[in-house]
Amino acid sequence: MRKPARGATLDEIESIYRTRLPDFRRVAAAILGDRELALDAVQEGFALAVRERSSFRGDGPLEAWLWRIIVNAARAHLRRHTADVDMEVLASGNGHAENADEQVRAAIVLLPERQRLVLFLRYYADLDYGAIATALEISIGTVGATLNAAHASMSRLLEEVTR
Amino acid sequence: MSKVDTVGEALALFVTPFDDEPEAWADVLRRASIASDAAPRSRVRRRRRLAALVFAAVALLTLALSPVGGALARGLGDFSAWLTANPGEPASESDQRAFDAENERTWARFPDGLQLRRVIVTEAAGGTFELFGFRSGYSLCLRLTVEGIPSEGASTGCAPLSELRRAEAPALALYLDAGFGHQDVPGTEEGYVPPRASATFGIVADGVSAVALRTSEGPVETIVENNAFLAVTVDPPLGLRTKELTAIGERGERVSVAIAESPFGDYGPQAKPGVAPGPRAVARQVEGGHIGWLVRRESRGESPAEAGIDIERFRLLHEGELRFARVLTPDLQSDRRFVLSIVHVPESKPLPFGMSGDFLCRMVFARDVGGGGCSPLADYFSRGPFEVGTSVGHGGEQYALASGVASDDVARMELYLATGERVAVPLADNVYAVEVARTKFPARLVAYDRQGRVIGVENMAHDPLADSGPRPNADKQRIVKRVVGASGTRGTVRVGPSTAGTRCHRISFENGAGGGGCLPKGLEPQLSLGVLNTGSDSFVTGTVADGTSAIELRFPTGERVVVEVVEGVVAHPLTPAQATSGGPEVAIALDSAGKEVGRQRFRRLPQ
Repeated sequence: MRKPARGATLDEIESIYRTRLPDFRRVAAAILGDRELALDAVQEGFALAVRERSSFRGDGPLEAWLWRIIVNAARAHLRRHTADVDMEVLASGNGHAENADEQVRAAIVLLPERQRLVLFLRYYADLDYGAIATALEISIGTVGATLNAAHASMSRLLEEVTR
Repeated sequence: MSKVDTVGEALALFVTPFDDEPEAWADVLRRASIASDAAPRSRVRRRRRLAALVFAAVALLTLALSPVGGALARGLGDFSAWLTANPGEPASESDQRAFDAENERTWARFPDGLQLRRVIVTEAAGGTFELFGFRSGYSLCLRLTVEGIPSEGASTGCAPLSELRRAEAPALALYLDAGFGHQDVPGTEEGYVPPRASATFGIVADGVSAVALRTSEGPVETIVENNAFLAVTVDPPLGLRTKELTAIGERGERVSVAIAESPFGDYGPQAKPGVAPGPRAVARQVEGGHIGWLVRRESRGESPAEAGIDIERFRLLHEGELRFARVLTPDLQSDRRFVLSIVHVPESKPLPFGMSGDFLCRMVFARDVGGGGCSPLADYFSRGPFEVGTSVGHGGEQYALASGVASDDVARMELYLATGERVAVPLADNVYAVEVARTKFPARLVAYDRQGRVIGVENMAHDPLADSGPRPNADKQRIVKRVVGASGTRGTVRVGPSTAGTRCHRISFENGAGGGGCLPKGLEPQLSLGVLNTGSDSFVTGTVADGTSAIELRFPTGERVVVEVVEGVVAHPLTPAQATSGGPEVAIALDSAGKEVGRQRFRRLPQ
């Protein structure tokens, strides 16, 4: 039998929005490489969540479901806008911390997309493996393996760029 | 340069916190079209609101101007049902088990734990057709099974989720003209028998209430349920093909949906002319690339044993000694797997042309697709920092797989599509694979180095299943000769004009072997012959230029055989003795007076 959707209430969504908004925006900015677009993507993502709140199944935490929507909204923005935000723009750090080393940014940008997403959700949102798995629609085992791979790649790249 | 010691430090630098930005819950509700009872608790700064409004205006303008946008603006919706929810109902336990068992048996399998959703069930041709949907990583797939009709199994068509997000139309075909079973009628000379049923399926947006599908024989009734569509044609004529697809909204709005036709027989759809966008030249010349981890024998990915792959059975270059092999999965959530191996060919047993030493062999396995090749390791990247191969599992699938191996010089890759879209290509452990919509060729793959400079460009001129240049005019091809091999293999020779008026020929054998083409008049080579092995028989086949009346084949045994030329085409069976002795050495072209007008040496067959 199909499990009926539990649905989410407006209050539940609003509560998470108000509690975690800076983190949602930071992850979206990391994906998009643009703080202005990140603000818009998060707003769009939450609007979609509000519209589709009745389809929330309750299989996992509501917050993880919202993370999935926000990540997808940011990635959709990335693909839609301005012939998409060029990876070179990402690497040049448009909208990012002024004192950040460009090669450090490049090291992050050069990671495969899934490794970047797992890193962002782990570091910026402090999500556990289960929530990351739900947000990215992958298994918990894959989260661990991807995070390990991302750490290894980042460490190697950082070693190279700071040598 | 600042010193960054940890991943955490690097990420802290990458994007600083958003602590100073105000909330905008009321804006969320407005975008969701829900009136807020409460006054907004804080306000977005005016500059931000203006930016959002400008964006909204630009987005609406874009939607209104583009064909896709036009569809969306008319209210046909998008594919969010497939992106954020699960249409349909869970598959039965037996259907799920059957899928899991089948998936377990293949090397290029989907990840474990995929949950099928049944979206359409219908009865036709005495069978029960069930259409299932499932998401796997970055792909959405539909799988059509049938019970009650003996057939070779399910047909599965997939699309990248990114295609759904870009939403070029309110419907997306995933598989055209899948055949199930066979009709109880005699086959054609080439062995073709029409299927008992032919099916086309795909997905639709929320606002699509009907799909109009037109085949080469006319319109076909189409079922639309649970954000999917399915059309089944019972006892179709041989070669029935889907030609047009139109999504229809509840108010009758009609939006044409691009499809890539499936080929039939020897001929594919006509390739679309055009030039792929994107960089055409490299900014930095890269030579002599290599794959460091492979040279160092690092244990990337899995061993063939860990991956359950019988490497000895399927490895390439059996003449050499397998020194190293790893199985790689550039996208962990996909069904694509690569085997990279190093095979050593000793100098004492060189390959043709005296080649020996270490070879890099790569094989790619994907759903319904497998293949590969080997090249000398030292020269693998002599022509560029990456190589590309394209493949399509079945003619009805709408996406081609572009895949290959890249050297360490390549930091990232991008795919440029004819539509202007740019797609990041998954690249890991020096292998990459990306799906290319067959409707979006010509396309271009571009490789960048770590500084973002273009270091490699590969143009993919057309859909791999499409024919470029003139195509045979199907209605005007005539059978001019029939041929039977020593073991009974039958073949036919057809000639006729192309759509451009030039001459075409086709040699077809009943087991599917054959060849042909269309050449502009006057450009035919004097002799273009080869030895074709159909499995049980060998034939000398090919074309000759005007003025050649006959061919004399000369064998190493001293035997000489004169072969007739029919309308410029040669198709001649070899005896077992002629084939096992290595085939002919030389062909002599003779004019009507028996005078030699051309000569061609053959590559010898293995004895």
